[in-house]
Amino acid sequence: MVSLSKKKLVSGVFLLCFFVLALNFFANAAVLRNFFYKISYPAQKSLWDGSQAAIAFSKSYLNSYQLGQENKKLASENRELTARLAELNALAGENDVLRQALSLELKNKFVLSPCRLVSKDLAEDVITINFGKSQGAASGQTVVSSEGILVGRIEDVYDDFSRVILVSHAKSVIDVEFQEKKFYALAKGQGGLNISLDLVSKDKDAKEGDLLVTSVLGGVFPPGIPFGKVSSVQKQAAASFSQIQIKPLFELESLSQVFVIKNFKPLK
Amino acid sequence: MPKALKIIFLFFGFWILSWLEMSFFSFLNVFGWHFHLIWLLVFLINLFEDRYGSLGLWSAAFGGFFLDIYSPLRFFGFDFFGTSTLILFFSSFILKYIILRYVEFSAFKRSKKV
Repeated sequence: MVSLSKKKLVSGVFLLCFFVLALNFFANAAVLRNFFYKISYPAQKSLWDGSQAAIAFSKSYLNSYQLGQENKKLASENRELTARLAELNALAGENDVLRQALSLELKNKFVLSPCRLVSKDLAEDVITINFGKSQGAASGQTVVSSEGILVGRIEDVYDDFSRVILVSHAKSVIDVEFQEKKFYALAKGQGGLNISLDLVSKDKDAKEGDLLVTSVLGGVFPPGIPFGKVSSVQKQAAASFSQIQIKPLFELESLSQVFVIKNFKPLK
Repeated sequence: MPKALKIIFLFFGFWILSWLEMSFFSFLNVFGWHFHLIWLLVFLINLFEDRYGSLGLWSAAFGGFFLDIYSPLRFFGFDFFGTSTLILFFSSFILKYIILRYVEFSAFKRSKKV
């Protein structure tokens, strides 16, 4: 039986505190983290892919469960949708062309290094990628998705891995621009993949669905990278600014490959 | 099972659990709340193991260690390795103390101190 005695407990506490202090002051915790990341990388990679497949499957299962109700709703909307189909097709084609153009533009403009997403932190909006010092990673480098959408920036760098804070992290503050309306705002991460927008006065015409891109003002990210879409706008009589919520354009659940922009140096 | 084997089993168990937590369970939430499997398991081991057993404290140390590896917490902005280990270990210690002093589970009352 595993028994607990006072003497053992005191020595255990002492050893634990010594171990923690020694790791912080005499050893390099980054090396230890990198060592564990390296060992667990193959398993974590498989688990990440597995979790994506499971989520996709559960979503499709839930969708099929609600199919009956959806069918009725869709039938009533069918006529309207048919009328709009041609227009939507044209828009989808245009979107594809724009997306490709944007991706090509990014590839021409910057040096992009592909890397894989390894894990997501449970407590914070932080991801780990298999791109570290040995591949040329540096703190502050921009991370984008394969479609050229802003994902976040590198925070901690280890030998073979890096931790990336997502645009929705509570620490993240980004200067953004309304792409069509050409006015600026400050996007603040709230955690849990939520982002709010500050400093947009009520007289500005911000609407649901407006596309936001990174602006030249911040200097933290390259300008013109798609960032998010306005998901809700609330205007209160007493407040001078609108309360705007943003939905990030990337979907973490289907994200496995990302790119690091290597030749953009942030101002701060 | 020998004590050393139990401790080794706990070490690898918590390691695998931390992989699961950082991949599979990072997407799973109920009303916006995430399952913190490591915390939950440490709490359950402390609650249901032998009153005088030390596996709860071992599991807290291992669980905290792997949280510090895969999900580092910043301590006043400083990357202090061991924050989760210490928090989990002392939470476990307090829980153990409360159970030992004030709580009596008749269903789990199994052994005396040896």
